Formats: sequence, structure tokens, C-alpha cells
Amino acid sequence: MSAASLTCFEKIWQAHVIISDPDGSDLLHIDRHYLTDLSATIGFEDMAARGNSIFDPQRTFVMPDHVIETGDDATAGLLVRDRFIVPLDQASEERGLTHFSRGSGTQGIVHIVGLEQGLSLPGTTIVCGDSHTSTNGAIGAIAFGIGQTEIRHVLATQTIRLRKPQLARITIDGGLAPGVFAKDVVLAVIGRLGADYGREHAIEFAGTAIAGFSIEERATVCNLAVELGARFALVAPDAKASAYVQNLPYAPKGAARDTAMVEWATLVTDPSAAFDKEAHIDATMVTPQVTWGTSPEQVANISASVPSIGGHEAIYDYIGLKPGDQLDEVPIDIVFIGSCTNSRIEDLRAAAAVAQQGSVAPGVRALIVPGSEKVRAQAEAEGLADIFRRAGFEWRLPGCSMCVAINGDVVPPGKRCVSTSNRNFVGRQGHGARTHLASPATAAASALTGRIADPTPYFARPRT
Amino acid sequence: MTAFTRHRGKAVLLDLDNVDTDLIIPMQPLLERPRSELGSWAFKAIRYDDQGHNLPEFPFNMPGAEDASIIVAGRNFGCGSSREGAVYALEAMGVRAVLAFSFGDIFYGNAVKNGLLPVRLNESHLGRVARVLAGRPAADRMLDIDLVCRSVTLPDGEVFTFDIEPSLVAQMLAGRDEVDATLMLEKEIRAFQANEAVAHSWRLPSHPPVIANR
Repeated sequence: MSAASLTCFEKIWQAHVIISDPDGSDLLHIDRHYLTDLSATIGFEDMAARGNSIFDPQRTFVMPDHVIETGDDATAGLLVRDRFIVPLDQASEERGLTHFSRGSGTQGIVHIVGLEQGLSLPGTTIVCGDSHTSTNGAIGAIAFGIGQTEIRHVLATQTIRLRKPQLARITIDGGLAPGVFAKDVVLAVIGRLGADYGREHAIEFAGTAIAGFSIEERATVCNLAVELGARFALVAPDAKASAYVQNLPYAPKGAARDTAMVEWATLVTDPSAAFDKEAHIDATMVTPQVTWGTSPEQVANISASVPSIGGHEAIYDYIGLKPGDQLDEVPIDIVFIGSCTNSRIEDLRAAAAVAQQGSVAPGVRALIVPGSEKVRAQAEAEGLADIFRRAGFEWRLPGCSMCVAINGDVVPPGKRCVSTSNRNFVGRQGHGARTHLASPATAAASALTGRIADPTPYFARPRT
Repeated sequence: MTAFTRHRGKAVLLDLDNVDTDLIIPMQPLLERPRSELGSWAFKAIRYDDQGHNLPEFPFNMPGAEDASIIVAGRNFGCGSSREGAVYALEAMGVRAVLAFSFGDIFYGNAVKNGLLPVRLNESHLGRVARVLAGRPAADRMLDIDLVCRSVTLPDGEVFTFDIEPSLVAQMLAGRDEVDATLMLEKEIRAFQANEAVAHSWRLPSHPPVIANR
């Protein structure tokens, strides 16, 4: 491989290798280690049990999100609060870690906070004990999920030993039709390529559609790459990435920033760089999507009917649908707008554009969980919170909430939820919960109509 | 971690693709139960009915299969969430190895680090294993797995080999803690950081102004 033909991913990887083992694995230095409430608590317990100390506290950040409550009523999940939330302030201070705590103005979902605080930067390596860490690839970083044993290794050594993955490029070209959003595009990609496509690969997203996306839209795409089976996903950093991080609290300033930008400009994928596999998607053909089954790859146009896939009666039983059912006639019980996939300010603007045209249908519970305290404050300043409340949506505090459903926000058994999250697995949102993944605009439209609904009628003009 | 050299055990056929880690272990017991108690919570959604009684069609619930220690699955076993608890739950059930066409990347690493052997077989070999076992009573589906030879031996004597990185084999055979091994390289890690502070100082997080009213 000549030095002149590298992908963005390879360039960042190579710049972080401390030692290459002859067996093919590399010891990588980690720039950022984000700890959720779960991984912080368990990580600290593991370290204490082994007598390890944290190698590099200044690169380690605590961001409670999974079990933290999203309502003023903190009694739901009280036991988990005592174990996973209450001790974090003191535990972080004792270890010299920055804790983005509730009420500080910075608390939120880990994969929202890292980007909006300027901690996640182009050309960095980022890990967290959560598979959707790939979200940070939106800024042009190598960001990936790790398990509990790996968390202890990173805490104790600030490194991880890993074999470089193979490389896949998914090129998405063309403009999006009105009512169609980044979430629809990536759901369509998963439907086309399958939940196993990205296994053992890092995915680079490229193409005119991706170039036209904002950092937040790229975050949605990189987030869902995990459901393509890819541990890593990124968009090569461009002028949008540099502009995004300007003046964010933890981003480089002054001379350091100037040096950084020169380096970031080199992180393009060389024109003749080779990928192990490639796919091409025409974004102009994508229409609003919704999942119909129990895997993100079971997705269809909202205008279509439930397809028939042989030998999987259990899926239809669980989801309570039959092949041939019209998806846009399926009544729903709950709408959840939130999660690391879609809870940023642009997502809330899209939902508000729909919400202001109606009210939540009778019998439907619709909740909106902004991704962070920063997003929440901005949404309030823009008047979005007022729009949501007037339309009958619950306006809640930041956290993972109903995506993983371990903080008391749960979909009851047998109830059907249109959700802007990333997993519709059996039991994910609650025992017997029926999940349909969709964009924030689709979710809002579904809340207003009381059934799975195409949001296109709510958008009069093409997006610029 | 538990070392793995070879294992002879009873296999169950879990004829499913995309078995995600939410299915393997729901989050709730992970937050509330010690590792050793997770076994009865594994596969809860497809293992018990709403009253908590065993569902007869779940492979481990079939007569003679209760003490099975090997799962034969389909594609993409262990996809989804990074929760290492999925491995702990399988371990607590007594599972020592999983045979599949493919595994979720993070699950694969988590399994290796805990001495649970993930065996990748190609489609035709996996199909052959499933067919041979399906032709036998549930109590009589023994497999021999040898990590040194990287082989799976069927009851009829057929042998298939599987691929696994040599470094992972060494790790699993030794059952050693990786942190101790890496800390022997502390000098090299600190040297890398020292160079970075000069050549790429922007990589260190800068500090925002202190917020007065927390």
C-alpha cells in the first residue's frame, strides 16, 4: 500500500498506533473516553476490585444518561439511581474526572454531549461503553463502542489493543425529497444492505447527500451504522466539521486550533484509496421509512404494506401485524421523540414543524426527550417547547429514556410505539413492547394522527 | 478470566439469525443482579411465558437439553448493544462456546475476553452441524471443540476447522489479564503522550471557562 493512497480512517488509525504487534493487532492511544452512568459506576467498581488507577483522568468524562430520570418524579427507578447516579459527583471528583451532571447545563446523552461540547474532534480516537459511540464519527473521528473488560483496559492504560477493521464505503448521492430526512436515508440503507453488512468493517459514508448533510444529520447516519453491523463509522472531516467545532467549550482555540485545522485538512480519503467493499445509494429514491419487524433491517416505505418473509411467524406474532397490512393504517399508542439517534436541535425543529399543525391524537402518549440540557435550553429559546406543549406532547429532561427503557420510561406490554431511536428488538422498549423506528417528523405526524403516518403532507416546500 | 483449551459438551440448536444482546439478556437484571445469577434471565423473552413457566419450544427447555453448554446459531449472533452482560449471562447458564456463521463485532471481543469461545463456521459447515445434530435426540447432541487444533468434532466423527486470530487463541489458552500485560508498556505509552503534547497538542481537551453557578 503506497503512502499516498490511504482512507481517512487509515490515516487517523495510523496516527494513534503506539505499537504494532506482529500478530496484526495494534495498541491504539485513546483521545477521549466517555463514561455513561452505567459504565462509570461499573468501571469504578472493576478498577477498585483490581487495585488499578485511572491512567489519564483529563481524557475521561462522566456523562449520566441511561438510568437518569427524565421527569421531575424521581421515584421511578429509585434503586438504580442510588447505585448509578447519586455517587457520580463524589466518585468523579475523587478521580479528577469532569462530570456533566444534571443541572450543570451540560448533562445529556453521551453521544449528544461529546459533539456539542467540542470534546469529539476530527482526527481523534473516542471510546465509550455503548455501541452507538460510532455517532461521533460524524465529526471525522474514529469512535467505537467497547465492552466492560475493554473499559477497564482503557481506564487503566488509556489504550486499546485492536486489529484494524476492513473498510467499506457507502456512497449516498442526491437530494432528499420534502418530508424525507437523514433517518429515512439510513434506514433505507439498512433495509437494502442488511444488519450484517458492516460486520468487521469500518464504514465511511461519502457522496453528495452526505456532503450536503449537517453534522447533526451525519450523526444520525453514523449512529445507525451500528445496526448495519459496523463497529466504526465516519464521514471524512470537511469544512463543515471544522466550522462545527469552532468556539465549542472543549475545542482547541488560538494557535492550537490553527495547527489542528491544518492537520484536519489532510484527513481526506485519497482519491485512489481502496476499500474492501463499496455500495451506492440514490437518496432521491428514498421516501419516509418505518420498521415493521424486530430488526432494523425489517424496514419499508410507510406507503407500503408489511412484506411477507417466510419462516418467521414469531416476528409477526410479536409485532402484531400480518403480511399485507397497510403500514400507514396501523394505530399506535405511544410516540417517543428522543435518543442519541434523533434528539438534537435540528430533529426537534423538524418535529415542531409538524407538531404546530395539529395536536396529539386522543389516547396517544407522546413524549419528547431532548438530547441534552444544552439542546433543551436552545429549544425553549426558539419556542419549540411551547409548540410541543400546546400540541399535547410531554416535554421532558434529557436522557436515554424510552430507547433503552431502564429509567422508568417504558412502553407497556403489547403497546405500539413509533420511536426515533435505533433498535426495535424484542423487549427493547419494555417487555412485549412493539417498536417502529422512524424519523422525528414521522413520529410527530404519527402522534397527531394516532397511526403510523407519512409526514410529507406537513412539509409544503422542498428543503434547501 | 477462565481459560479455554478444549470442551466436550451438549449442543442446542438456536435456529435464529440476528440474535441481539437485548434478547440474550435484558438490561433490568444486569442492573440489579450479580453476575452469577444472570443465567436464569438469559433469553427471557423467548424462554418463559408471561407466568414465568418454561416455553417448551426454547431449545434449553427441551428434555435432556437443560445442561447444554454449546449453542449452534445462525448469522450475526450477539449483534446490537455492547453489553458484556450478554456474555456473563451465557456463562452463568453454563454455555462455553457458540457456533455461528457470524458474530456482532463487540460481542465477539467480549466473549473472547471472558473465555467464552465464539466459533465461526462457514454456511455449509454450519448447516452440516445443524443437520447432524437435528437428527439426534436433544440429550445426545455432543460436540468436541478443541481450541489448540481449532476444530469441532461431530458425534459421527466429522471434523470441521474454524478460523480465529492466533493472538486471541493465545489469550484464551492462557486466561491472562490483558491490563497487566499492557501496563508493562507504560513507558511507551507515556512517550507517545509526551510526543503528542508537542506535535499534536490540540488533541488534549482544552478547558472551558469555569461555570460559577453549578
